[in-house]
Amino acid sequence: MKESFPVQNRMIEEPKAPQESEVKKLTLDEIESGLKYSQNTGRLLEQAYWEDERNKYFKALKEKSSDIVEEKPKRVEGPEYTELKDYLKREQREISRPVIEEAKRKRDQLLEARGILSMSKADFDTYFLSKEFEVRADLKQQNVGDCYLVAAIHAMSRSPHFETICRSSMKRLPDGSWQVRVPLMSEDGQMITITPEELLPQKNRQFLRRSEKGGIMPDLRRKLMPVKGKEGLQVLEAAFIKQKFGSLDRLAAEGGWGDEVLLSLGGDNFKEYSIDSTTWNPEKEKWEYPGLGSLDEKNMAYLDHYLENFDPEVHMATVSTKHSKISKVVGFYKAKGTTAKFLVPGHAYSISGVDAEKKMVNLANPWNTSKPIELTFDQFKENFSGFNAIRIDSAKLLSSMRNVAEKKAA
Amino acid sequence: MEQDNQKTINPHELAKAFETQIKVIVSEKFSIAPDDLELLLEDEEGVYLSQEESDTLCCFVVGQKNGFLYLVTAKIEENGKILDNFKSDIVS
Repeated sequence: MKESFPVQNRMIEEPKAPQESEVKKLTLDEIESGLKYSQNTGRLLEQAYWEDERNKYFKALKEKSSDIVEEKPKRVEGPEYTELKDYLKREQREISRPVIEEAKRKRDQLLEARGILSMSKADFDTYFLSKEFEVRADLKQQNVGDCYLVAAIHAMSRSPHFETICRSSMKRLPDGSWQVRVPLMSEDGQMITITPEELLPQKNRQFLRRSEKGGIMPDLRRKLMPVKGKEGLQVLEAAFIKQKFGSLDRLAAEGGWGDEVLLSLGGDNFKEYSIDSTTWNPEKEKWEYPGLGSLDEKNMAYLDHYLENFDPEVHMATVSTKHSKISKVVGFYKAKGTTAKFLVPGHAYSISGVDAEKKMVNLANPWNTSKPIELTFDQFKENFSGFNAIRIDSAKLLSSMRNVAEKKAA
Repeated sequence: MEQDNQKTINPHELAKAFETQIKVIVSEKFSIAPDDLELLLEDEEGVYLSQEESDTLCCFVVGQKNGFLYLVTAKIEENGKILDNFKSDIVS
């Protein structure tokens, strides 16, 4: 039996828009401190605010040091949020696309050259690739409610960095067991060992018992199965569970958040982007899932910016559908605004890609990632309520690779 | 002729010589303090001559605090003595 599990109970705090900045001059330390905090906590709007403040600070500094004697223009106001998209777009391409594409290839070579890889290319091909040159398909969530985890692993596998990250942090030993350093690429990561036995189906201690959360149906799953896919991907699933719960307890891993997985596996090489439309209705005393289409202008600008600039080399994202109004609905429903697209309520999906020109989002259901689901931006926003994504922090990744390499060489 | 020029140019040395200007172009466009920027001069692929655009030097710059990887391009003038027409973008 396939089940969906709640993945959607977090509130997004409204970013604070400091009011004092117009009257009080901020010091560089205050700005840097605010920026660092917003970056560490993934608060995008605050981050944009502090970046803007820093921009103003340096502009003011430049004006101050200028010899030109003229009436200083009034302080340039930061972008209003109504103009945020334009502001963000200005920070986009100045260099031609072929040169950027060339740079991306060079960057990958650079990353490859920096890492000393513990897993051979042959092992990676054997234990990760479904087909030749294809690591991205054929993941199938089985009877464990860890859709968020499978979706996150699938999202990770889309990255061109995936091979380098796995080969530098995972190793298959001659006895068939695996060593995985979590977070991946972290020099101080915890070394997790996964034995071949831990990848086998696991006896369900809840078998024939009713859920503690209520409900009348007993748990009919005699065994809990690992994700169906290549062994290396099963190992990643197992490593996350073992790292989080101390043992490979698949039951404990049911229900969660895709970005938690990505941040746990990626550590500080990844930066969080999380947007959620879920709201608590105090009158009705229940959570409501109006969909990403209901986001306010500020959050919508960030979502659009992320989608329009989605790059699998940098971004990894899982998203979650709205919960059904009728609780405990299991199975598919027809996605709103579509003729024949079916989604599962309260379920995590991964974003495989985005066609910014056509405004299409390509999604994968962890139940079978080889069958893409294409939705327009509007359909996507109508049917999904949670957006849990990360961006690769290139400086950290480069630094981590350097550190890993130095440590191994020592 | 162009090929001959490119053969004689050492992109890393050229980038090193124009390190300040390369940092400034990123610093001004993205409002980052130059001290937070690092050119990847020690990596072979950190600086290179573009195969896509002739006479163009490409250099990676990392924002140490914000985590962005920037690309700076510049036209190579006067047989590799001068860099001009700097541009910068985020790569990742």
